[in-house]
Parts: sequence; structure tokens; C-alpha cells
Amino acid sequence: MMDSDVQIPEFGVSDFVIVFNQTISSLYSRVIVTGEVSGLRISRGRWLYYDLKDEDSKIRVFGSTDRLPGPLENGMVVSALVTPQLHPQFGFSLNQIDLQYKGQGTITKAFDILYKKLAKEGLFDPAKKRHLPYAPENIALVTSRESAAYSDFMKIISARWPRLQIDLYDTPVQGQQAVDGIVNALQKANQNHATHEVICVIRGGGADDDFHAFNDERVVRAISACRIPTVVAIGHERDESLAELSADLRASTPSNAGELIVPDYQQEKIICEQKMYTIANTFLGIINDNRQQISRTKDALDQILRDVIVRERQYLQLKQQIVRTLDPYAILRQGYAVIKSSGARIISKKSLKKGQDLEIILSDGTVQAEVTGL
Amino acid sequence: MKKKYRDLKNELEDVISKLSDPNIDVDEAVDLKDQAEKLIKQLQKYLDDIDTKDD
Repeated sequence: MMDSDVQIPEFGVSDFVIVFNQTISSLYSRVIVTGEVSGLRISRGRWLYYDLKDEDSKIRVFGSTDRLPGPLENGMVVSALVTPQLHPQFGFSLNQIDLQYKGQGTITKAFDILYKKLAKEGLFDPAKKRHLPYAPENIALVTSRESAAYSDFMKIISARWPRLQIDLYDTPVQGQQAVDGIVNALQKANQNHATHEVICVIRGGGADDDFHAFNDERVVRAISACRIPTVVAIGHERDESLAELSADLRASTPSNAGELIVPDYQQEKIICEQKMYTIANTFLGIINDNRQQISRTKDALDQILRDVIVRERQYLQLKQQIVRTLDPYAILRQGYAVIKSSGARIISKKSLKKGQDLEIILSDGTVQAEVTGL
Repeated sequence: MKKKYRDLKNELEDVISKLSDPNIDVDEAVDLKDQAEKLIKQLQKYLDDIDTKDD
């Protein structure tokens, strides 16, 4: 059985485990293994147990849920960054350090699963979308300072509304640091919600892999949790990311985000002038309406005055006739006389005495007389 | 505290709306017209300051 010419190492079980692990570690301390997920099990919401398999083989994998790029299901094809290990009790397995979806089919499936989950929670509900404030004074900008997206955005703002105060929350927007960086930046910006009026997240174009952070559940939830309106602009010709769906407003590019957030001050000048004309015309209209009304009122008053004058003239004519009728000289002219004695009017002979002086008033004058007989 | 641009604009729209009331009294119309012109001047100054702002 054992050829004495060949040196075959001999170990106890535990020693062999140690030597094996040391050997594997020196050759493949970390390795990427690609395969299909099967037998997936999650323990205590945290610990992952699954097999990676292909047509001929299957290997056990252990990991944790906090290193997942998104949902994981049996049948998905993934590339796992692992450390191989021979466990003293549980045998050979791979310890998962990181995981990436492999193949568009898996990526699409993961996207669909996460989309449905977050949609069910209401993160994409159109009824919850907030309006952006008009002409904000201060915004938070989450992006990479080194990116073309940042310079494009700043160019637009500078041209349209340079008074806008922009606080930059600098973060990588692609690569391994992107998810943590964007989430931290959003949380910091959100803490300053009393200062900012809008939170804007932007990045420019790139390869499909560059956008994974914007379909990460943590980024989507961080956007959704913002206490002030959010704008997300991912400049790329492709389907909307989950981050864009969760924002209050999606812009097609970083430049478009600038156009949506602030007005154009040159246009505003023109609008002001137009308002001035509108006010002047409206006011002239009021004056003209009032002039016409005053004119109509004046005409009406003139007519009333004329009517009053006619009425008064008629009244005076009537009164004149009555006065004429009541004129005492009209009665005297009919042959009557007024008799007085010592200034008092005599209407009966009983008050007269023989020899008394009398005044007889006729229509054309007065005659002195004396009572000669009664 | 200096008013924000959008607050000035909202005030202007409100004044114009009142000025457009067909039943408005002339005296009130004169006051509103003065108010509107003042608001427009403030808005224009805001925009002129943007024009002359140093980069």
C-alpha cells in the first residue's frame, strides 16, 4: 500500500486541517467563485447558508446578509469573493466576503424583487412626491467633486441663478465606496434640513456596473427618508434606477437637474417687465371704466337737476296764481273798501259814534271821512 | 429680514389678482397699483444684483 520510496506526509486530523488551511491560504487567500445559488437559507435574519453550483459541482458558502448587493434567491448566478476554509467540524466551505450579481438576468431579477418590495412599502408612491420650492436659496448637492456631473451642474446654476447657495457633500458615486459614501452624505445633508431647501443627488454617464449604488436598498431608503424634497439625476440612457423612482423629482441629466431646481434670471427679468405692463393696462382699464361711470353718473345727475328745475318752476307758477288770487287789492278793485278808525279796522257800525273820524281805503287810495249819522 | 425672491413674487401675484377684481374701488386700485410697482422694483433689483454679482 505504501511505497517506501515516496515521501507521503502524515498528519493527525486536526493537524491536517491546520496545514490544509495554511496551504490553501497561501495559494488562494481570496478567490472569486461564480456559480448558481441553490439551497439558500437565512438564519436569524443575518447569516447566509447556500450552495454555489455548476453542472458538475457544488460548494457550500457561508456569509452574512449585510454584504449582499440586494435580494438573493435560488437560481441567481453570482460571483462571490470568498476565502476557502476547511472547518474542523463542518468540513470544506467558502466564507463569503462580498457578492456581485452575474449576468443581466440575475441583475434584472434582483432589481425586480427589490422594486416590488420597496413599492409595496410605498417608497415610490406618486402621491407622496413633494413639490420643489420655487427659487430655493440653499441646496445640498451629493456627488463627486471630481466628476463631470458636478461641473455641468455648477455651470448651469452659474448661468441661471448664481445667487443659489450650494453645499457640496462630496462622495464617490461609483465603485465599492459608493453606497456607504452616498448614504452617509444623504444622512448628513438630511441632518441640515433646516438650512437646505432641496437635496440633489447627481452623477453622469458610465458603464452599467457604475450605477449599482443607485439600485442599492440602503441608498434608496436614505433618499426616501430625506425630510426635504429630493432631486436625483443619473445621466445615462437606460431604465430608471430605484434611487430616481424614490426621489421627489427625477431629472434626465445633471444639467437638467439645475434647470428644474432654479429659474433663469434673464427670463425672470422679462416676466417682471410683462407684469409691469399688465399692471399698467389693468389700472388704465379701471380708470377708464371709472371715467365712463363718472360720465354716466354726471349725465344722470344733470337730467335729475333739469327735472327738478322744471318741477320747481311749475310749483312756483302755481304759487304765483294762488298769491294773485289772495291779493286783497283784487277784492278792493271789485268795489269793496276797508274802513279804519284810529288805525283799527271797522267791521261793524256798533263800534262807531257820530262825529268819529274815519279812514276809507279804496283800490286806488285812502279817503278821510266822518260819521255823520248812524 | 430680507424677503425671499419667491415671497416677493407670491405677493405680487396676490396684488395683481386683487387689482383684477371688477368690483374694485378706485381708491383701493390706486393703492394696489402703488404696491405692485414697488414689488416689481424690488424683484428687478434682486435680478439686477444677480447681473452685477462678482463671480
